[in-house]
Amino acid sequence: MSAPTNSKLTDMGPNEAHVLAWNDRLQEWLDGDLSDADRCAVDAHLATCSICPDQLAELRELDTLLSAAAPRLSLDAAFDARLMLEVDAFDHQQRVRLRQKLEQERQQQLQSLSRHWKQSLAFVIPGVVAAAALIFALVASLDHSGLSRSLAAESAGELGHNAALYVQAAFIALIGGGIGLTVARWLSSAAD
Amino acid sequence: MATSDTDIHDRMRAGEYREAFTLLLPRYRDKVFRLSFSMLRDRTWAEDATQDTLLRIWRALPGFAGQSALSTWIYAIAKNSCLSELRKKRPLVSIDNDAEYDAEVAGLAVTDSDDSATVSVGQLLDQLPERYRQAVTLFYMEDKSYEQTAASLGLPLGTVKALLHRARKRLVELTRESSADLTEA
Repeated sequence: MSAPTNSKLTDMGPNEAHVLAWNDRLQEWLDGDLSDADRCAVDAHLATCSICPDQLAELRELDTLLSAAAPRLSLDAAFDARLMLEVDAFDHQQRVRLRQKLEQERQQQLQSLSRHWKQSLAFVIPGVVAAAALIFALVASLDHSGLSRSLAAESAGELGHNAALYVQAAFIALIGGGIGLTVARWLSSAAD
Repeated sequence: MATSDTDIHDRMRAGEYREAFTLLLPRYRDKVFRLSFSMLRDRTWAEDATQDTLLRIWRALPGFAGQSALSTWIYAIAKNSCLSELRKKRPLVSIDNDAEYDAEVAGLAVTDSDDSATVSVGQLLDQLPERYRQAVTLFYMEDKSYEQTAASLGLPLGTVKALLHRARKRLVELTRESSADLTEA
């Protein structure tokens, strides 16, 4: 396809100022980018001017060539189908990634829970055993010192023998429970 | 009934992204394709870039909060996709600077084969600075719509008109120069 070759304008020389002055206006006329009033003014000028009709012809020729050279580009349903396959593939990948992420989080939670239980068992069981041993030692010590027995004897005087035994057992249980609770709490905070 | 951007926005607000994309696709697909072609000047390359752009749009759709017009957002993604493509091909080419226009970019273009004494329109376009050439190509592909060309390029209407005027003047000059060369030869 050849470009416009209007020889009249090629050697226009002294008329160049006139050509430049009207060039934009003529292009706007050609593009239909003028108001009715401006269009009439250009029409009137073209009817009397000896230069501008040639310039307009040149611009029109260029316009026609550029229009003809512009490819008519559009995409079809096959493109849409291919694109939607890509979209589906992306969605599938995203779902797979999401599932993997959720599974990873679940595994991390399980591992964390397992670690926590291991720590708890490692500290709490020996703690409870130690507390129990401490309670027995304390009971033996109290019995050896006769403190519990004397307290029980005092109570026996007032409440009777059976009641005194109950008071002794409750006293021992209270001390043992208090120590056990303190030790268990300390071990639990240490485990955390 | 023709789809409008409002319909697409409504779907997106309702979280119906697939439906929104299905409406968006026929409305913007060809415009994105033409914009891509005006930058890349190769049909296959432009088609690939269009697919890439539309996939990017699909991924980004849930994040679009309407901070700009939908068309502006879509054309911006399209331009970025094409610029990435061009940079991949020619990492040192500056796309926006006319002064740095590199003749190598013209080598990327598809030009009319020419075995005659006349100069083809494609060859003349190759001699234009990138911005002029892109504006001209897009303007004529978009059925001479200043508004659509301005929207696609993300430029004010006046700027597009000025670019086109300068481009056409330059094309006329180039035509005269080539005619003179042929006459001398």
